[in-house]
Amino acid sequence: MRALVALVGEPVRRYLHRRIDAATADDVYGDVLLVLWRRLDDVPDDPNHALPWAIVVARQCLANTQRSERRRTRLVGRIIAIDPPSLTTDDPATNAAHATDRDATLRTALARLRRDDAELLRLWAWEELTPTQLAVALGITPNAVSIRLHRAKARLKAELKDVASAGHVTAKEGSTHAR
Amino acid sequence: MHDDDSRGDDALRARLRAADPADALAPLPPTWLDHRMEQLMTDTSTATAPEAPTPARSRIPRWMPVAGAAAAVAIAAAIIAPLALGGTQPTVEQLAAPEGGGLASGSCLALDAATIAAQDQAFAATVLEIDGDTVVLEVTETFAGDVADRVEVPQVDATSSDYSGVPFAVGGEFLVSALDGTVTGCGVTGADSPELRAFYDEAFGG
Repeated sequence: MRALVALVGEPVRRYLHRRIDAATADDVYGDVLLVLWRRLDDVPDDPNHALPWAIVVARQCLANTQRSERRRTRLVGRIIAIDPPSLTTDDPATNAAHATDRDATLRTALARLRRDDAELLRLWAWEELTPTQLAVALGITPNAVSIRLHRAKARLKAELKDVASAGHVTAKEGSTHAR
Repeated sequence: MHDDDSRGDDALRARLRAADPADALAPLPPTWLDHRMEQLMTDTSTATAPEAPTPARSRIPRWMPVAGAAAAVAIAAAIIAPLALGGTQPTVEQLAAPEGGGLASGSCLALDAATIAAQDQAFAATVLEIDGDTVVLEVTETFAGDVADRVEVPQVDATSSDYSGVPFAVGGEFLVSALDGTVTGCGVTGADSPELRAFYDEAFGG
């Protein structure tokens, strides 16, 4: 188990931190470790396959957490709609806490892609999975991975161009006003 | 030409990496992991744990007060979080109907688990409502891909329907698959029957 965690632990933790706020990420990481521990016999022998396999586990843990989170938020939303509390603390800083604003164009372009395309690109660039590892993580053939990856890259490039040309005018305007 | 492509890919990857939200994330201290691993390995609830179960000293488990406190914190957080974050709406995504209802093309192969395993998205859902031609599905279980809380699909004509001959009806439970944003016909999507469920289980190791 220690060998497995040494191999996949940090990459999986980073995977989670890229997709949810820090506190929840470490909670979910705890869940993932528990699942890995319980399913130690199912871990692929090939060390190359262990990481994508662990990422699949992490994705499921993350999806479960997000689903129950959304369900709870909806329920509370209904309660608040019936009996609204007197104060609201709508702090935009909290909303943006998780976002990194270094490349807004890229974020917008990524957000415009189909979710599966965007996730494939993230796994490719952030998790740095090889096509074979991507195939394990997504449960498809390496051939299908390369086709989808090629398509997703082309779509992202097109969206980047689109967002950049649309945003160019406003960006210029913004900088003039700032002066 | 090909060189241009790979150069463009490298630049794209570099740009994505520069926006990696976890690039400044410090690794956990080794002590955290040691502590956590110790907890896992001594957890008596796992079947493989080597330790003998501790004798029950009282009817109330020792973790009860802790769980109670945790629950209280969770409830408080649940009330505060939506106030701070706003969003109370379920996520919704749209999927397109298969061309010609899937069946009209006449090119369906025999249904097998491999076809189902190759889908981008696969999920179980209950029909929440039908608004004109739009069917709103509440997702109950996700097998593959990223699926929103609710999915909207166009209703298909009952006569040409390929959803195993069962058009969506309110309250009905379905197994749905989609490829590239389009619901897959040819019997892959259909009412949640033991037969279809068996294929999904085989495909996704359920």
